[in-house]
Amino acid sequence: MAHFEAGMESMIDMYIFETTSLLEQLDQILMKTENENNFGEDEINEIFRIMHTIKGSSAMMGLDNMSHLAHAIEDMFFIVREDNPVISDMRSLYELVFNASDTLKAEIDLLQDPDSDPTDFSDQMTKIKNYAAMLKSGGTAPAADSSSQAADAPSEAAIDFDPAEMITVTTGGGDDSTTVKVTFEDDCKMENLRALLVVNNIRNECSALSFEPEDIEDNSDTAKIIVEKGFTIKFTPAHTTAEDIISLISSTMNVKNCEIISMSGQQTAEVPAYTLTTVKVDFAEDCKMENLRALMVVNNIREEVNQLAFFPADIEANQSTAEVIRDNGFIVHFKSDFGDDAILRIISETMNVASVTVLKTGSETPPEAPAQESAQPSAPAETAAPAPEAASASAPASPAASKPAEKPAAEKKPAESKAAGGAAKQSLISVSLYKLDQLLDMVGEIVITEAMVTSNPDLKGLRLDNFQKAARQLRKLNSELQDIVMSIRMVPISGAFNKMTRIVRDMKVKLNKDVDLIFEGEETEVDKSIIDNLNDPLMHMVRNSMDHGIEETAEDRIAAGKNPKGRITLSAYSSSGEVVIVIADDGMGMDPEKLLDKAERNGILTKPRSEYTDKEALNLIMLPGFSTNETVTEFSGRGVGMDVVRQNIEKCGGTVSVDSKLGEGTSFIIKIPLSLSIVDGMEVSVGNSIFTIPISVIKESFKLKPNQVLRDTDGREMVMIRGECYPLIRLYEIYDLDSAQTDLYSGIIILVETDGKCACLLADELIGEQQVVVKPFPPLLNNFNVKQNGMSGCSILGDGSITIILDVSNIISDF
Amino acid sequence: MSNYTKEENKDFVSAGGEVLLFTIDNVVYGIEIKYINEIIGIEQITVVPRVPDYIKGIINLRGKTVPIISVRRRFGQEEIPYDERTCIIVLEFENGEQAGIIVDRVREVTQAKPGEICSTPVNKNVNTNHYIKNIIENSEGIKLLLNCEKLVMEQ
Repeated sequence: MAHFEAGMESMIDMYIFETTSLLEQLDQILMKTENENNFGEDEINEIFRIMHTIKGSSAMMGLDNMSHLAHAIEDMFFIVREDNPVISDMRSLYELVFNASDTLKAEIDLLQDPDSDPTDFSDQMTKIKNYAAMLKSGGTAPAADSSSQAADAPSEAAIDFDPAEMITVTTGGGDDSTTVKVTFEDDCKMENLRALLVVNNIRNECSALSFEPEDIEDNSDTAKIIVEKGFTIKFTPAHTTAEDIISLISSTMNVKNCEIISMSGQQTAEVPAYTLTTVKVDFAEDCKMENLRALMVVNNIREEVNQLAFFPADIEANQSTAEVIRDNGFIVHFKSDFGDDAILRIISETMNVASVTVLKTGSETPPEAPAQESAQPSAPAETAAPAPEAASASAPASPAASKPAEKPAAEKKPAESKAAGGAAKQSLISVSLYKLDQLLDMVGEIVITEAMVTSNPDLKGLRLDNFQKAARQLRKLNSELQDIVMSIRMVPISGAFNKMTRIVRDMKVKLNKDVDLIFEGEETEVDKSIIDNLNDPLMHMVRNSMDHGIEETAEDRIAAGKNPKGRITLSAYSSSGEVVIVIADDGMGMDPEKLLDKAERNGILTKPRSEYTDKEALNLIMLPGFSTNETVTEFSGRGVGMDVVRQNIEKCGGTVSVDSKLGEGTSFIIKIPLSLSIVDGMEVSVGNSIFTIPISVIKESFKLKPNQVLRDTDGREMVMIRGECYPLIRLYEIYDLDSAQTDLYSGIIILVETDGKCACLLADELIGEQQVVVKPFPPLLNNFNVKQNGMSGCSILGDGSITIILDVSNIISDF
Repeated sequence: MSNYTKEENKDFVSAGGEVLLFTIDNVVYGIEIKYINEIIGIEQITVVPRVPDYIKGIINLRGKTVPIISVRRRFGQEEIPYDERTCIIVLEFENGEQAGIIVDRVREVTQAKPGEICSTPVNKNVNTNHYIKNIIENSEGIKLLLNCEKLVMEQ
């Protein structure tokens, strides 16, 4: 079943992106307030706004289930905000909202699967409504067995007190409500609930709403009454016309007929236009569906303003208004007790709003220009559409308000709007990652091509001063281009870290451990593709630390002489082309002996037990099928975690290691290259092969003198340099290459250092320094563990030949 | 490992199809045309250390690195020096992966008719049987149809 209304497919990406980021915001606010154990007004408003936006955009996408769930939460927070009840049971409030946030996220994931059906959230909504009802009734919980229907009633009532709906008293007097009688299809059953559906459908569109019979929700007998007498609804349209609402009613499921009993007399109050502030809202280019975006603006500010009118008015019903808005902007007139600035802020914070231009500020005194009344008839084109406004800004008044306001500004306007557009234009855009990947690939190709041109064999032996000059310039520009492209792809790691707060929070509750999560250096930037690969490993490791690392009880910690509150630190910093991420806990630590015991039992030791160093023993936990936890818990213990961590990290070219002190805690250290794709390398030849060694690991290169070479008792060769002794690795030997230089003193020695370990590599000769674009090995070769053999990737050189990039740390540790 | 399914094979057996023929050591082998990406001459092959000996290395095929397999080695035969008829047949699999195989010489593309295709005998003793999917027999002789997935991917 398709999730979306027809024509909405193009919006899916945008919707998913927006909603996901909103939900993440929500999580953060919740986490913050939970820590402080207090809801500030700002936070409540923020949650309110988030839920409101999700509700609106979900409804726009036709995702009714999500929209309704968001609506339920919004209602709940409405009570929290308005009544300011003493919340005795904060915890279940948080559980409810966290759960809802999770379900919404899960639902968004589901959206990407076209075959899935929308999930039914009614259970959750019932819970939320119950809780809201409890809040409403002053914190006394409803009887446990009270049916959800009974509990629903007060919360439904609460909805009816929404401020937007309260301001129905038209200042000008006169009745602008419409009364209709709805009849349902024969035999559709449960007419009362059908009626409720109708009411729910139009609720958001009406500023006042009453219906007969009233107790449709908790009294199933009303079904009969509806069948006999019909269902009467009296409403005042909020921002659409009565006709729109009637058509909305008629289109509700099972509605047979919608008979108009009395239509609104178009009587509306006249509000002096000068009291209203007029602003012009422009939306981001290409955001599409400007009319619905505008509706969102209106919905966002509705509750904060006393009087509201806007043009074009029929944004909800009339798709073509999108174009009008795109061309002329969206004009909003309002008056608010909160001050114009607050409203302007709300407007400008609404999604996709590019700029808000104040055309006129409202004042209490009429302006001198008497043009108002005379302007009114001069706006015939606009008077047709606007609907009677709930905010009592009358239909004729609204264009009148805009006209005189715009007129004095007419001369100034082009310049002004241009300036305003320049200043307020969004300085951020979101770009699809695919395009960035393409850009990066392209830059890689340019780097290769540059090398093809500048070191073209045809140029050999020629003296080309000007060419060399131009080539140097090209190289400089190319490397700048590369830096820029890389920096575009860099995102702060805080995003990945912040996700962990949620995990820690959940586990804190479930495991009943008190733990602080501390971030250090979360502003460190890493390549986007790396962040994506980091989420899972981080999650596994934080879970591990929570579950196994931190002691079971606070008493255990006190007995060990530690702060009863545990601590997990996530830190990130960059060092020499690498990002180092450390996940450290101050828990029990790991016992190498225990690890070895376990490994022995599982039969994963590869050499005699006595030969394992502590460090090697600790790294055993990275092996597949290793878990020290005797019991499998919800969070960890299945022995797949650390194995997956290692694989994920290796996938992006990184390494992971463990450090632990028994009784003091454990750290996991992840090292990941800053960028994956372009490496400054030194090319060396060995036999017929060309290898590239990353410049960042090379300390020096030199020719050996006979007195520098030593042999240990096993015949292993070592090189003595300035009083330091380094192991010697002959590249041709470990890679079994023919026709290489085997004479130590004719070949070249390259001293490399990585992770604090050094070694000397023997190669035939140095060819030169070159930037190379790392390409992964073909998948077929990955089957043969090339990566474990000291080769991190390959690259194509300027002349079309292939070089293999060496992974020096692997070579040092394995050979 | 192999994404080749029995049903697909049934299709080929019952419907026939085009087959590219090549020889190794004077034996004629065939590969279904759907796997063939292109045929190129021998290029400079970059040796990748520490892989099985039948993988000769990788080549640069218009910016893509493609692993190269020696069919002779794969079949446990001695390699012969490359000459002007030695070719690399670049195969492409359904998942987009590419691999090149070195063959002595490429013959032609021929149409295998349904009646000419028969299955391999169950015989564990023949080394190459492992990589052979079907046998095509007609008036021109016998051709052995290779199972490309097994030839390339099986370790």
